[in-house]
This record gives sequence, C-alpha cells and structure tokens, in this order.
Amino acid sequence: MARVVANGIDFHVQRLRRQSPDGAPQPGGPVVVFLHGLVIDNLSSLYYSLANPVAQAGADAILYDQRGHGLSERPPRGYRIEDSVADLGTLLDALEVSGPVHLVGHSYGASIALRAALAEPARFASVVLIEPHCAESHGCVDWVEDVADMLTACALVLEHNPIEDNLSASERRKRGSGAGRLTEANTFLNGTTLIEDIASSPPFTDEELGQLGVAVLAIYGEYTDLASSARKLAACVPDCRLAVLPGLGHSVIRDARDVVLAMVESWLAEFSPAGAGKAGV
Amino acid sequence: MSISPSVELEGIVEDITAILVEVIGDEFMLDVEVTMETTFSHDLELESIEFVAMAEKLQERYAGRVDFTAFLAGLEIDEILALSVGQLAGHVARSLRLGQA
Repeated sequence: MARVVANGIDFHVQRLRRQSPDGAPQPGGPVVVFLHGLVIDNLSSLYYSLANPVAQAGADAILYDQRGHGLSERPPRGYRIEDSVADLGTLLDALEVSGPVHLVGHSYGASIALRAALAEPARFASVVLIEPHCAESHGCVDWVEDVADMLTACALVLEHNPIEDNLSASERRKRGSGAGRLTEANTFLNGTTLIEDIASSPPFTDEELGQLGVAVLAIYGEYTDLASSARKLAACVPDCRLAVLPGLGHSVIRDARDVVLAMVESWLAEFSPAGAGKAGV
Repeated sequence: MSISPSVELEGIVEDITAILVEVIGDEFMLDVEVTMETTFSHDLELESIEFVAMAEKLQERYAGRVDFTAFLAGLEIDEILALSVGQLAGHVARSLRLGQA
C-alpha cells in the first residue's frame, strides 16, 4: 500500500488500522485522512503524533505525502491548492474509499482540507482544522499573499546560503542537524513553481465559508499568528467549534500532542453510532 | 527446538540493519556499526519519513506478527525520536514470542 498513483502523481501512502489477534487489519471504523503542512513537513509528523493512536482507537487512518513532499513524486509545477484537492479526491477513489471521511489537516494541510470540504461537502463527514491559514495577517491582502510572502523569504535565504549541493546524500547525513531537510527545502522552493502556484490560489471568501455544509473543529494556539483565521472561521462557518489552546503558538501538535489527540478522538466519537450530538451527520 | 533470546535478538537486529540499508543506502551504512544501543535519530540521522518507511518494511517482513501501530501509539513523540535499535528489536521479539504462545 506504500505507493499509489493518483491524478498523475506517484504518492507515498500509509494506511494504519488496529490489528486483529490473527494479525489482519481490523475492518470497520471511520475513515480518517490526515493532511500535513508545507515544504519541510511530510506525513511523518502526523504519523508520529495523531494517526497511530487514532488508528489504534479503531479508525481506518490514511496518510499520504502531499505532491512534492516526503517520499511522493515532486513534479516541477502543479501546486495550486486546487491541485492538492484533486489529489485528495483521486487518491480516495484509487483507495476505493466511498463513504464520508473525516479530514484532519495541519497548517497548510488544513487549508487543503477546508478547500476540499467546500468543493465536495458530501464526501466528508467532518473536518478537523489544526492551525489553518484562511484569512489575512501581517498586513497582507489575504492568506495566499501571506503564505507566498513567507515562502519567498525562506527561498531567498536558502538560495543565498547554499547548503553545499555537491555533497552526496551520505555526506549530508553525516553532517546531521537537518542538512538534508534544508537541501530538500531549497530544491523544492527554488526548483518548482510551488510559491507562484500558491500565490495564484483563490482566497477563502466569507460567503463560501458561510455555505459550508460540513462540521468543523478548528484548533488554534492562543498566541498563534493566525488569530484572524480563527476569528473568520468562527464567524462565518455555520457549524464550527473553535478550540483555543492556552499558552501555545502555531505548533500545537508538537507542544500539546496529548491535548490535541484527546480533542480529535472526542470529536470523532461524536460521529460514531453510539456518539451523541452529531451521529448520522 | 527453541532459539535463545540473544540469538533471536541478533537475528532481528540483522533484519533491521538490512532494512536500513534498503531505506537509506549502503554508502552510509558501511561506515556504521549497528548495535542494540544505536539510536535511529541521533546515531543514524534517520529522517522521520525514513523511520516510517522502515516501520512499514518491518511490518511486511513480519507479516502481521508484529503490531507497530499499537507500539507507536503508546509512545510519546520524543520517545519515538529517541528509540534505539535494541528497543525496537525487543518489541519485535516480544511480539513474536506472544504469537508463538
């Protein structure tokens, strides 16, 4: 199950399920798809933190490296948010997932989850958005400009501080301290159309968020830079539960994994046949 | 005929080493002696995504007899990052013994 071709891209996919006593994956349970963040992120962050425990609690957990990330194929172009939404839909088709699924997205992965839920609400039972970017901040016009500016700054720093591209993979590993990751980030940011594609992605309008027919759990840190996004979701999305974690910034999963995990598991339980409140949504 | 625990662990460490060569290549692994104390993150500089790939290959190697989802679900992120080859081999050995019981 490690490699799945969908939407013309070769994806690295992990599917985690609780194991039966005979060693076979246990069928049943809600399908939960995890979407990671940008550039230096990949599926491992959510694999380590949330997906294995959620699978162990009974879910059918699916993770994949977004195009260009981790062990998935990196095309030179095609990084608009709509491309990532199309990747998600065709991957679910390829995996023959038919029933409504829950999405759990972190950072830019949460923005993809939100855009996917707006595009195809019937396909999703709920979305859990952990620190998504969906409104302006830092004086920018919208979230797209904000993210593109941030990535451009990173690209410039990496371009003008080259990480010895001529080193072999083994030599980079011996250097340690993330040299490999920085090289990867430099190649990604300066060798693909990622930044210009994200810059040309559409903003989230109040009107479309107001028509979102999928239940949303939005989780932010109290000191996040994305407070305007949190306020926008809470104000516009009809069925949105906003959780603000005291004392934390953007990295809520890293800094409070157990709290976030408990929230996600509790949220999913509300949709189970025995759950209260949102069963049958 | 039963296999002694130390021989069993040695065999599992050999399996893990062979899978590490598949995941990160033999150029780096030729310079490293993998022991029970070797840590994936610090000693091998294993990227987190490479650990995921290694876990999947181990899962395939032991074909359902070792439950990595349960093992990893019970660990904090810092504990996973600090895992040693011996700790992982120990989990595999315990799982295999339980399967035989």
